[in-house]
Amino acid sequence: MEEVKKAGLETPRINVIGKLKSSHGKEPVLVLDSHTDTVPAGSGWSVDPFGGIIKDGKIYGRGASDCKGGLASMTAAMDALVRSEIEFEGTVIITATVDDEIAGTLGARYLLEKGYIKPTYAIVGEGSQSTTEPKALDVVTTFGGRTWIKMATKGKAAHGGAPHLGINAIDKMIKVILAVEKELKIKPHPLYPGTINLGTIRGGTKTNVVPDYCEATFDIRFGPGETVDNILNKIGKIVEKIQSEDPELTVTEITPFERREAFEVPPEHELVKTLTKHIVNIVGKPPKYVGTLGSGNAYHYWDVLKAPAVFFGPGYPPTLHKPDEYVEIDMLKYTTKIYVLTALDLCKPLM
Amino acid sequence: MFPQDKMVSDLVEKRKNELIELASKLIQIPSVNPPGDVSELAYFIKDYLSNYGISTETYEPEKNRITVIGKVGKKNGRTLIFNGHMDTVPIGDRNRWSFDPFSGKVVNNILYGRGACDMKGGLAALMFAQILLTKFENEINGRLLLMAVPDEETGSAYGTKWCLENDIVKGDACVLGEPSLLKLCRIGEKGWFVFKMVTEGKIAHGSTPMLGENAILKMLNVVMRLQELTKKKVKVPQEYEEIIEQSKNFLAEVTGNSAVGDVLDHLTMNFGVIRGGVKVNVVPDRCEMEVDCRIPVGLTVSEVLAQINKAISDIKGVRVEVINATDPTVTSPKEEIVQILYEKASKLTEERPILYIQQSATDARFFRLKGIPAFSYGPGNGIKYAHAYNEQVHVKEIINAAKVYLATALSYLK
Repeated sequence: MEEVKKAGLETPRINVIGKLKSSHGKEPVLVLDSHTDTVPAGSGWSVDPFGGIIKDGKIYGRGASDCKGGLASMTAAMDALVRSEIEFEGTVIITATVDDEIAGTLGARYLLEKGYIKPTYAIVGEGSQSTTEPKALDVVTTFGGRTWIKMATKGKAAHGGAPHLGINAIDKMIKVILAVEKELKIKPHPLYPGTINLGTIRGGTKTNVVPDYCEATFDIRFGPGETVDNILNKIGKIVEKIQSEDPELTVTEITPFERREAFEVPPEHELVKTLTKHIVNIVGKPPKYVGTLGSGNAYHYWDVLKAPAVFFGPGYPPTLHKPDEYVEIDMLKYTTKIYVLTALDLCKPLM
Repeated sequence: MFPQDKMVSDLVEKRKNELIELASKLIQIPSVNPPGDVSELAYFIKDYLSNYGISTETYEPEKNRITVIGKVGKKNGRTLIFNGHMDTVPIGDRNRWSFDPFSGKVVNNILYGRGACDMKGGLAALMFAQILLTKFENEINGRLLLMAVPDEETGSAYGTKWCLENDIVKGDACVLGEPSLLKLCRIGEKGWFVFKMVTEGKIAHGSTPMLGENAILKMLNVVMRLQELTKKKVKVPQEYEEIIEQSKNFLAEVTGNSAVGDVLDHLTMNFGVIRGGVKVNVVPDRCEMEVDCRIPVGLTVSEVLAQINKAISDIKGVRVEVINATDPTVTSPKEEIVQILYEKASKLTEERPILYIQQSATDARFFRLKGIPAFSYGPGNGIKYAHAYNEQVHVKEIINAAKVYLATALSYLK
């Protein structure tokens, strides 16, 4: 609870780790991870969001796709592995983790940082049903990065009736923003154009005083090939240039207060190759390798241990966070089988 | 020097210690604004004037915002008004003063303290002139009203503005004792236009900015358009061209910055406050900015508003909200009161005053807006010491100011 309070949360957080008893605990370690929390139900539902109603081959409810469908498939896959009584040289672990929806640190990240799990790779059960083809499954192998940057300018206060005698920090921030918007070139990636959102600006306290402080925040999104440090460097150079042209322009702060690097797991990686093989077997169609803007729990595996992680699960992304969220029962069946087969393939069964 | 001017000069010189003691006493009674409670000082002034047989009235439209009016003379002629404010700005950081801001000490002929320059020195001189005028009560036509007012530093809602709007005070001319180094007759001032710009856009997730419309970026565009308006030199009415020129030269000289003079014939805009967006990862759909715009003589508020609307006419989702506005005001140098004071000042001090149009606002505008010629002339270097640390004034300026005020009253009311 101490850590929960420290994170500014109130109710207890419980992560569940299940380890296959028949694993011998050696490498490789495959983690099947799904989060247990959902976003609130919200309004606009035509069915009870907590009824788990089954209709026309779909299960409806909040969390059906995000991510309780995935959790159910993973649990069923573990059950099948237990019943098979197959022993493994490697290790198969299932984790049911908290706080994905609030980008918290007490879920998968906590387990990784504390060393409770040491995966070689992970499959995160976020929905990856194809949005372009019916009854098909994709794999999310590319994850966008983001950084949130706060910048501040300093001016010199003076009376508003004699603005020449001061230095207006808002005017200077405007120069900074225009330069960043114009000159910051984010390395493009086929799946990510690279975007900048000027999210907030705050400057000055009184209309009749030349403001001596202004701050603005930027949300910058990028794909693999670009990094937060690289972006910060480029911004630093832009600022240096405009400061050298305007001696009264003083930028006091360029602070990233959120950084998530972009990453991708290449198609030739063992994890992706094995998944693909079994998707073709079970679904009958090869998956597309797609990208997503957010990286959810996959990011923590990559960031903490550099363990490759992908999204592969039964959920249908367009229904996420929306009313009448559902998951197709066929997808639940497919993914359960594919999880089992992938674990059998990767974790060195002793047969 | 006319015999009368000599007499005035001697009269003030003889009692100059009393005058400086009064100025010192005014500083010792704090009247900082905010909070703006002037009651102790107001009743001190009322009693001080009453002791010299001057009839007084007080008005208190808001608690502790008291105006004292002293009257000398008869209702049968013209009415001259002397106006001085009692309130001062706060002292700020006490550690940055090298002396007690409320000591009212005089060292080497310099009077020190909060309000010494803005404007208890001037107020003491105005009071003293009225007190000395009582000796001539039977020789003058008309009367002299002294207004000691509160609230000047925070907009005058319960001071001069209130008195004029409620017809508490009526008159034919007004002299304000605001600091002008006894070098300037501040006959005009820039107008004042405070407005808010609001831009609206379309909200979207921060990861897909292309799906939204960023209200802050729109505001930056608006700012650039507004900045263009401040670059144009304003056409000054011919009558004031020369005065503006000499005012610019004076400003440039005192500040050592030739660009500063430009505020007198240019619009200035201070982009004082900006607030836009709620979260870093949301495309902001609203941004607000407050602007303090000062309007030179030669332009009006409605002309400026029209210029602004024209400059942003092709940008959708932006509007102007007027918060506060006053046109520039100026009293003609041909007015009798200006001419009299100008002449008396030239004779009684070593300086011929400069007719001056200033950038900041004073209570003079309320008189001008009522059609009463009004201007400021008083002791103290306001550009250097008003609202500043270690505020001070030379006692000689206070003494000379009292002479000029008395001589001016005697001449205007003869």
